[in-house]
Amino acid sequence: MTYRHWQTLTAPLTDANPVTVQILGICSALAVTTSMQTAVVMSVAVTAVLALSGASISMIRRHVPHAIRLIIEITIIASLVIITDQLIKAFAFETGKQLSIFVGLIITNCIILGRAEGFALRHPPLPSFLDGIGNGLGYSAILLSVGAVREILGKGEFFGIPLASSVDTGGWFVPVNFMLLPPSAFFVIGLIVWAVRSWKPDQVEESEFNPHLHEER
Amino acid sequence: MPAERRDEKKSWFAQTPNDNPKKILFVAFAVAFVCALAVSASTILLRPLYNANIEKERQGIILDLMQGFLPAGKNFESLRVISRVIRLEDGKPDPSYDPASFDSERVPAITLSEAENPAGMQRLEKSALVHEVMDARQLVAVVLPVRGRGYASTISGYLAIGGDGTSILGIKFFSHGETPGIGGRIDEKSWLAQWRGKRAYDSRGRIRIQVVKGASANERGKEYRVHAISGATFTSQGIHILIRFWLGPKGFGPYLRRLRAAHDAGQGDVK
Repeated sequence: MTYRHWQTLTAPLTDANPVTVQILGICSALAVTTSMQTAVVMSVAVTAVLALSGASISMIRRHVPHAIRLIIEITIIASLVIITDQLIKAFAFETGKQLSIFVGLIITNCIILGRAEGFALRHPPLPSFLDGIGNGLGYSAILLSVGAVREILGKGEFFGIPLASSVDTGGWFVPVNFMLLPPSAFFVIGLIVWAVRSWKPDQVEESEFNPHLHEER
Repeated sequence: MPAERRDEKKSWFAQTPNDNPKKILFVAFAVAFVCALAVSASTILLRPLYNANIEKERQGIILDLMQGFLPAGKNFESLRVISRVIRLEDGKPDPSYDPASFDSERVPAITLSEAENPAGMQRLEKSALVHEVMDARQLVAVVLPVRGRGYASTISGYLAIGGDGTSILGIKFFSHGETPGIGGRIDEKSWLAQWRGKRAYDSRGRIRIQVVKGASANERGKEYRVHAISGATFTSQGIHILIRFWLGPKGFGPYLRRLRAAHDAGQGDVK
């Protein structure tokens, strides 16, 4: 593996993370992060679809007519998502039920079409595959962190294993029910974005609007 | 450049520019064909595993339901579950099917008109698989498959009726696509629990169970009323209609009438 391949693989983990830098794929990050188990299955599914769609779109990139390029990309992505959905229903049935419609909605996950359009159409299959894996891992890292925070604070469990006895069963831990509701993921992702940007100030965008609060009339 | 080298082979595909209409059609069909092939293959290969999972889940739901009405001091070991295929029109056992391999989708069905079929089913099979739970020689419960139209999906589940043919022991749904948090609350234990102990029929055999909006102070008829889910009018209405359909003459009405008659005759077991 060359240095460039390594960079393609690792850049999306922090410097070009699809969730914290590009703020893509937020919808599913809100929906499936109430527990680690759903977050893990979703991460694996999205990473697989990203890598395989990148590789297969890249393989036919020279022969994709410009006029129907989006249709072709979506057809390939949708087929991969259906196959992933079938695999989850066959091998991870219970988790699949909890993920319900969000597996199917991977099709509309902006990260996937974004990488197909932005990377796979212009690069050979191997880098496109690595780019998919890298972006998938970047997405997974955020999903798993959010899932860990929400499951631990919301249920006092980690991967379904109780960490602390809750007040319902006579213990001391009061579950933060808010953490199980979708808006809490916004807060957690916001805090992660804040943390990452404090660590890497380059990622801070210039503000688009400056209210001149103290301007003289 | 590799691309130029490929041009020298002069294959039609490599030479034709990408905006040629013939090539556009060709690429579109080729991609569609390959994708269709992959999706069909995965569906066919994984279908048996998926069906096994569904079957396991249904068994789990029946066990869950039974857990709710186990007679005091009993455990599963002392109970026997007999699966039986019955004819819906008269409620008698149907010997032409083997319960072990019964598949409701392969049974001859009748088509109901919209008026006869408020629960919105496209087809109603003539026979159905029921599970009779026996304690020694006494029938303690029957578990009946029910389904019908909800708000945005078909709701399927199991209804457990006591050996007397009228008391409701429990209900549980195994598949639906109702809105999570609204109609999806039909899966909540607290809502399901209120069905327990209700009665389906009155002493004259009329269907009385209903899903109603709002609390009624009236004590009379309390055993026939289940509270609707607030905010989920269509789902609640759907459950109301589907339960009454399946308790009615086109559903398990004749079968349950036979159970009640046998119960009243004091033998408990229906043959």
